[in-house]
Amino acid sequence: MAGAGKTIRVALVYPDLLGTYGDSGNAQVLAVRARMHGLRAEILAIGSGDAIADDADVYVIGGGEDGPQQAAVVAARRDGGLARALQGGAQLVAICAGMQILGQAFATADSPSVEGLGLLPLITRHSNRPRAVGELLVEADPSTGAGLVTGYENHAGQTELLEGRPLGTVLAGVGNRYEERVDGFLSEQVVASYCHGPLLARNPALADLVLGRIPGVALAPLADEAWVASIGEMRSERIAAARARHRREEVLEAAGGAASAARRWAGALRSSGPGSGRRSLL
Amino acid sequence: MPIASLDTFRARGSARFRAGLVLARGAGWLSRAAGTGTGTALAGRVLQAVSPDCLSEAATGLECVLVSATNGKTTTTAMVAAALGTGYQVVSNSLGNNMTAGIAEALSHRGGATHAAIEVDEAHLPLVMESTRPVAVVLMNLSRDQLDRVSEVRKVADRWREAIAAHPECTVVANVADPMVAYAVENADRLVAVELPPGWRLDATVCPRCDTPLAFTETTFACPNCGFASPGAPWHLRAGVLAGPGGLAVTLSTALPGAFNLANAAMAVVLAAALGLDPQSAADAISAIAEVKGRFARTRVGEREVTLLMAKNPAGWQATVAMLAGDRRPVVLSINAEIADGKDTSWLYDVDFTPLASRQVIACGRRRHDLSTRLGYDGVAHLCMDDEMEAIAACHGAEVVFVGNYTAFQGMRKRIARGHG
Repeated sequence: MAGAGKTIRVALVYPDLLGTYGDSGNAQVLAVRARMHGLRAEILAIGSGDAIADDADVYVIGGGEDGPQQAAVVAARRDGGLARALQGGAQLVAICAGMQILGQAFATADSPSVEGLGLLPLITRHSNRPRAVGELLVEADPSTGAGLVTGYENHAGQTELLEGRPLGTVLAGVGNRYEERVDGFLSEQVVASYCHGPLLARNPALADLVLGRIPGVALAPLADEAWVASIGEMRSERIAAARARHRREEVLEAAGGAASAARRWAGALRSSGPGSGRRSLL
Repeated sequence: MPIASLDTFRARGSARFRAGLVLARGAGWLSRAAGTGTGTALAGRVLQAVSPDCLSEAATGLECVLVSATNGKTTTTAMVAAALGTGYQVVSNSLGNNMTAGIAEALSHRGGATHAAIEVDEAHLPLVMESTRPVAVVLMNLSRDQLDRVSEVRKVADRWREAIAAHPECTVVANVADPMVAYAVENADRLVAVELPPGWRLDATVCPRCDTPLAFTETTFACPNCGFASPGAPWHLRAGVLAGPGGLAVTLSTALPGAFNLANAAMAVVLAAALGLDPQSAADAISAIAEVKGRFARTRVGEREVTLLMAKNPAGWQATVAMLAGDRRPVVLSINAEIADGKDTSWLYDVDFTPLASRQVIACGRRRHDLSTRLGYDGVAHLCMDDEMEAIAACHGAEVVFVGNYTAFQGMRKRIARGHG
């Protein structure tokens, strides 16, 4: 069987710190799908007190709260294993806070700029806009073959790509930042996103993309298991929910636009109308 | 229940408060009559609107004990009420309204009670302490609940900490094996520390003081940076025996399943002891509790006896799955993601469902496809069905366990109450 000689090693980085949003599930999905494709796979869970082995095939890092996020960047910088692994050609799946700490800098509630690991060309800043929370729908870069990517975003930080391309175009939700409709980061080695869910559980095509990029790996057709039909059902439901969010927000935006137009009109009427002098005295 | 029972008119307090009660109960009655629910939530809102100080008025003259935690607060409140009942007349917010106005409405039914056992939502603890001036608070655990809400666990711990500092006269019975709770009660003047067996720790992996990763042993934790550590405790729960100061040993047993219910019982017994009651009598009273607001209830559905369990968050699910690992009964799991549940189901991947493999499992609920996908990746063979009652009927054997998250559980209770409609 193709690739049967190789055991795929999936390193789950700091689940004790960056395990708040279920993103550890991405490592499990990679390992289970590798087996469903006829390969062998194992997960190395690397706690924040452990050294990060630099010889795994895929590194998975997830989201977390401000305090643990800061502890994670301190530990990962001191360790250096993640940087060595990426230089060595390993694959990386990074979500939310995990994506933020890999960039040049990120923001927490206590500090507008904390130095990141500098491994991805992106920077994350504070914003006065509301926290982005809800279903996120992304049209993935065509090179991925993943089509629609569904997830759940929950972040305050606003991420700007300094170079390179995003994972895809945002169809519903916010994604990287309010100013442009894109989510995440994509390169030959990296899939990064604001999508929890977890990302690879909701979007198995991305899991297969990552597995297929590992040197020496060929994926056999998926073993048929009855529950797999549920993934498709779940995807349709979540895609519909994300589109509903988008419609709601469009209506709110239109209503907001109409309200401010009405306010401008009313203001203009007041300033030109005969009662304007009296009203300003009130 | 009549629109306004006699105790409405006997209730103590200002005219405004009593007027509020009459209106609130009228609203509650209308809501019940209209079939929209038990009416307690509406009654609470009306009371709060008419009488903003309702909770301090309702608590006047009562010795209040507040119970708060992410998990187990409803059950522990029932246990505290039973424990206090060995020495006093007790009123409790047993219908489950754990925010300000709901508590006030519940306390107004006090009758001849001298003591109150009050379940309090974690976020509302400071406010409820301010209004009720409790003799004691019982604090068990803090972990994440709904992911899509702003609920950083440490923010809650900080608010608890401030509230405790503001009430130095209050006795604080606390599970200091939970780092977040230990942090919240660190400066309590009247601390009665309890060490429960360790539970969910994934939300307290860094030091609440300085964000350095904590070092854990089986029962203790310590921060290698700032020295924050388990404070040690005069009360310990080990293997069903609660050991206390001076060689005291209380044997705990509960009719309720699960190791977590022994832990809840331990907290209630320590509270009783701290208030001068006999701990063994308290433990005996607690052991008789068979269900709490439908949770743990055994009920007939068609041919089958169904045990109803609720689990709201990863910590609760993990404890429930561990409990179920002890038998082979078929399980029906039901997951919704309404606002009350949290809209993000990612947490399913923080629960290890593998102990449920090799038994019959059926996934239900409005998010059954999320659950089914999760179970699939965990290698748990299962069916996916859209109707819980049909799922129960499809189970093999005479006994079935139903586990639902918040709205899934409430929906199931309603259907059973209506006669399986």
